[in-house]
Amino acid sequence: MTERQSRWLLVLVLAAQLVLLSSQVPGSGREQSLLETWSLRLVSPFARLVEAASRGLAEVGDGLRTRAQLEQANELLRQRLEQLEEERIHFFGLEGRLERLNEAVLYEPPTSGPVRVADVVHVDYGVWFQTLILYVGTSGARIQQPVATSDGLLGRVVVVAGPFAKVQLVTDRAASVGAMIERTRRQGVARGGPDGTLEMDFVPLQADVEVGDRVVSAGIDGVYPRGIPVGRVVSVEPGNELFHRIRMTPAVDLGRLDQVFLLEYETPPESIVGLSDAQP
Amino acid sequence: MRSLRFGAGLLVAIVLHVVAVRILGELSPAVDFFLVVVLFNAVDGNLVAGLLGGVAAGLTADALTGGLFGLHGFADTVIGYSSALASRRIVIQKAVGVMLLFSLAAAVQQALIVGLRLVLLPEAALPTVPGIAARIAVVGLLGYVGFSGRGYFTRGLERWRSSRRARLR
Repeated sequence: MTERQSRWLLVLVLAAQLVLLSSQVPGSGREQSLLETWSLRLVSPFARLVEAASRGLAEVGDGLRTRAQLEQANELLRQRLEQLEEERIHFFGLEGRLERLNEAVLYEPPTSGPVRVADVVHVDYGVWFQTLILYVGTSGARIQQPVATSDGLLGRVVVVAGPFAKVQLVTDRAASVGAMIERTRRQGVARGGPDGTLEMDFVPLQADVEVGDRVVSAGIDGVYPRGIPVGRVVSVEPGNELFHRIRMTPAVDLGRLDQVFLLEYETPPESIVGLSDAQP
Repeated sequence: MRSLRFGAGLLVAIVLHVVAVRILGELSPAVDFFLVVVLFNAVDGNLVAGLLGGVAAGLTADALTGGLFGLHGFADTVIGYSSALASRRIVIQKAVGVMLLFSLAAAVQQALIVGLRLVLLPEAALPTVPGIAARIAVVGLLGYVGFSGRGYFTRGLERWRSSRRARLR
């Protein structure tokens, strides 16, 4: 191929890639492309293999424990089990009381489906975007499916490729979560901030916010269920004339991700969501 | 043979990328093994190989990272083609020259990605200057080490072949 022909090929390839890029610009509500799905399907098995090998090596090191260490760990686990049993009895009583109250006011809470465990195959600490790739097995995952850990909310599924799924983390600059301050129930929008932190927007200056307040998902965005911890407030400053400038640390330690939970959460149908934009 | 070599390089880049993320954590964006593969593939001056290598490696990097799919694909395509073109025009014989070429390519790649991000998603955050500088330095260093290593290996192989030939005679 001559230099001139290769130049035309370059122009064609770049134009095709620009079309691919601009088709994704709307951002959060973007459709996944076939090329992206297939790339993820091809690359993820290698990432999974390397991850499994390094995990295996780490487990060999962890497996070498002395008897004294095992006895100590056993004692700690026993104490923890007793503590959890006490908490379980306490929450069992509370749950019964809550159910009776719900029945009294004819309130039917939204149903939450089963939780599924998925292995983390790869974490990306990119400057602009933060994602992770999961191995979800043959049962797959669905787009917009919420992902969490036992500590709190992690993000949502944005690409599904067979047994693999790509998750956009809540700390991603392009991600946003309908959130509320647990103590006061004041709602706002949590977004990814600089250096892996979170920011909470649209909380008016009159609202009561304190450092240390826990922020949970509000269940108003049609993606995430209500009440999952998102982060904790670390600073509150007057941002502009109307709103606070709130910074938070994420509830989940992103450096220790090993296994995560895929939440089965019934989102409102598109036909109903679309009605909010309709003319009266 | 060439495509096999490139495929093997890409596989090694995937493995190194995953391992680097596990070991370096949040410092891992300072290393771009895919760009190094693109540059080594393009440095002999084959334009089409440089271009297609850029597409393949860039899209692989996109599959393992988040955000707009095709961002690295676009940037690495430009880098692969222009590096091959530059290698046709200038002859680089010293490892320092390769290091400079690799560093320049990393800088141009970052400029392209930042430019595209500003055009397509203007509200997005930009990388820090130390972050970009670290990436440029690391890619340059990998180019230097890779080129020197290849030189040592080729010379060693040549010496072994000639001594074997002499022994056979």
